[in-house]
Amino acid sequence: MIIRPFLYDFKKTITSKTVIILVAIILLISLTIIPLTRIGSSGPPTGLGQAPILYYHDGPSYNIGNHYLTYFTNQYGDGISGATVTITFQGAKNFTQMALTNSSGLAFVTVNAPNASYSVMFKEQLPGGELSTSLPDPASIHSPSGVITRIGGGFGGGGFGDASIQAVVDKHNSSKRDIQVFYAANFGAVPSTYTLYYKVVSSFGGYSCKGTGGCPFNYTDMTSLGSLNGYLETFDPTIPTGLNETAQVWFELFSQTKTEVGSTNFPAFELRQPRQPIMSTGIASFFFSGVFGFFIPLMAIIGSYSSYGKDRLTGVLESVLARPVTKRGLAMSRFLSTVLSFTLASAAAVGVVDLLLNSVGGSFLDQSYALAIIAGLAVEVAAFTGLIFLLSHLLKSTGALLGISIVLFLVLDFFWSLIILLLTFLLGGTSGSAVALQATFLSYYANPAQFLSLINVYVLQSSSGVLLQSSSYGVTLPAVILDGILWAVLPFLAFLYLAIKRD
Amino acid sequence: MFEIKAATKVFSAKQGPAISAVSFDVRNGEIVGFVGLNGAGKTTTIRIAVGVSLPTSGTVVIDGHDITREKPEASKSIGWVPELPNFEPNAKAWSMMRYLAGFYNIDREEARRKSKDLLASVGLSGFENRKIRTYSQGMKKRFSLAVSLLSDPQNFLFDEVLNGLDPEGIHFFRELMRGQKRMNKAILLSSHILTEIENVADRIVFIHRGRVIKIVTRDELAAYEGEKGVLRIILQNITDDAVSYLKSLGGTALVQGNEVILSDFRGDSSQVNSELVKKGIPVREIKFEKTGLEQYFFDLIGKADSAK
Repeated sequence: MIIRPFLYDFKKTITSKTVIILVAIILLISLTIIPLTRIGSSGPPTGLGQAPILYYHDGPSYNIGNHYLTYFTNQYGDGISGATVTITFQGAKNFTQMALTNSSGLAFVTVNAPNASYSVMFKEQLPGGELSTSLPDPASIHSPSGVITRIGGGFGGGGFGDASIQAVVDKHNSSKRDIQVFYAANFGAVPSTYTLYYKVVSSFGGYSCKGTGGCPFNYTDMTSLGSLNGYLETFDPTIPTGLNETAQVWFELFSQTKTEVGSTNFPAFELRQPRQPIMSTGIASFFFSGVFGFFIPLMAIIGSYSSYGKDRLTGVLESVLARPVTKRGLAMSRFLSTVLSFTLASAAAVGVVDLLLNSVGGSFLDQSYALAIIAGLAVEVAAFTGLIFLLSHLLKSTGALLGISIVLFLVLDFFWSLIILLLTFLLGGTSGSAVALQATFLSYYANPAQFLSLINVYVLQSSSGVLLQSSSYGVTLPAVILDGILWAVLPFLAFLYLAIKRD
Repeated sequence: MFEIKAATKVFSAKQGPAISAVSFDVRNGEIVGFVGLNGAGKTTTIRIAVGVSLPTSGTVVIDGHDITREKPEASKSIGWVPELPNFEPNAKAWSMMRYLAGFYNIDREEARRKSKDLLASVGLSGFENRKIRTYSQGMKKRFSLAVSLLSDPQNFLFDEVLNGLDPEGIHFFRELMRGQKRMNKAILLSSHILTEIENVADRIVFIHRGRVIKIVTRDELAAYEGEKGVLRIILQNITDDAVSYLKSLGGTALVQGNEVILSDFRGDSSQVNSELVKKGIPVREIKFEKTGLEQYFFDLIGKADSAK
């Protein structure tokens, strides 16, 4: 093969008007994710929810003083000052106290009320709105004088015990989460003798509490994250990479006497990525397999017809073939330039989607997921380009090529799910059954247009939002890789053989 | 020079070979005519020679390079103008020239200059920026010729280039071929216009039903033409006696009213006239036309068919 003519034709194809227009269309298609991100990002305003509330009374009974300690932060754990907290005791007599959060986002409210039964209302007013919730009647809280009891939850629940342990987005790296602990020492004093520990385990279940020594782990089995030096403290745990999807991270706060005062756990992947990207991945997977999976094969078909099929069947290619270039060189340059153009365009479109999701969710897609999608798109582009190039050597006219291409697109891309559903019914299966699901996944192997769906099933271990174990349905990594290689290579090799050996 | 060696092409096993063991060469400084009926295999042979079609067997050697094994090297010294040039219809002539120039390692500036000069030389000045689909058939042929001259090749293959051209176009091509011949280039010209072949060709290759049936030089053809011809006799009145006498002269006699046409006539027309007068058969007109390439061609075909 002479390299220069090859590269020359390569450049010509990649810069042809049709290819440039199709690439622009692919990039425009990526923008259609914008409406989806709006749907995905709708929900209650950030920061509004039931705040964690610590309570103690300075007894001997609660009629002397009821003390409430709460805080408000944004998603990064920064305190929100100026939020209004109002606590109302409703009983034989009503008592109301109000406070504003300070610069750290903390609010201290003390309600002095006679010993009686009350209905307690907690009201928070933030720039994002206001929320009222009821709190337990102090008469029902049987804690000794001055001892801290957590009575309010907050986003994420705050965990078990009296300390609130929550996850917040890392300010410097939005793709990971930090841990924020909220606690107070007895009589509302600033805590200074408490230490946060953490431990990474491979699964959620199978652990039992060890009394006050730790639940579920003793501090000796855990790694220290540091001491609590204020009411609110943020910690940056190091989460190992390469964990499986079931891995959990446990956090426990211990007092100086090594008594646990709070614990919670998070799936490890949540700490690597904030919640928003999990949602983003859901939107992205739907978008990639639904929109890209539909349009990219169509673009590849049109591009292949334009860059090779039409020229081959109208005889235009001969005017090039008469130049100092081999049949193999010309065939390969047209194929590789077409595949490269549309793969690069697809990769750029994935990048655009990622940027858009990041602008909404604050973080990028998981890198390995994005790369898997780009690889899947490359396989789809190569497969359809190879098929159209191959057909242009088997058919006699541009009309026949266009007709067969349209049929190919309709069958493989448009009606495939319907065809498989119909076959499942004919074979006695029912929609949604395990057999139907398996038939659907296996049919993905036979169809290059469904390769992205196959990747989504394998990488996300889910289908249409339903979690599943892909290997139970025949979707394994070696099988997916082998299928991708076969689709990328076989049509191309068949085409190349005909291009070299036949006129 | 280029040499076609035992080229055979089978498109379909059911139909038999399109060409079979076709062999001939075209030497430098020579114009070779390539003559055959429609479907005889001229275009198939030329397409194999330029490398756009693969031979089933046999080979073509262009200036020492095998067209199938050393295609890029061989193609550098070929200029091909097909009967129906087929370029990207939406491309402009100017950009298409420069695109194709890239395959010959001609740099941008040189490609610009050459394209401009060549388009001007084939009479397409002022049409450089028009899309090729707007060109007439004649313009496409001129454009194809300009493209074929891009690399200043040693060998030219012109396939029915004169078809559909106006007299000026035919004259242009004829002069171009003569010019290239003077530059010691090897030229193969296939054409249905046999008078043109007669005018320019140094040798003529006759192909019939996929096989080369004869290769003659200009001198051999001239010698053949000198002794054979068509004798046309218009009589006052046609009689059996007259027809019987004329048929006895040999060749094929065709009677049309008072006219008798003797093809393949060898002899002296004035002697025939004297004989007719002696027999009392009044002659209104007698005319002898030398047999041309056309007759020679038909004779060859007739012999080839009857031998089969």
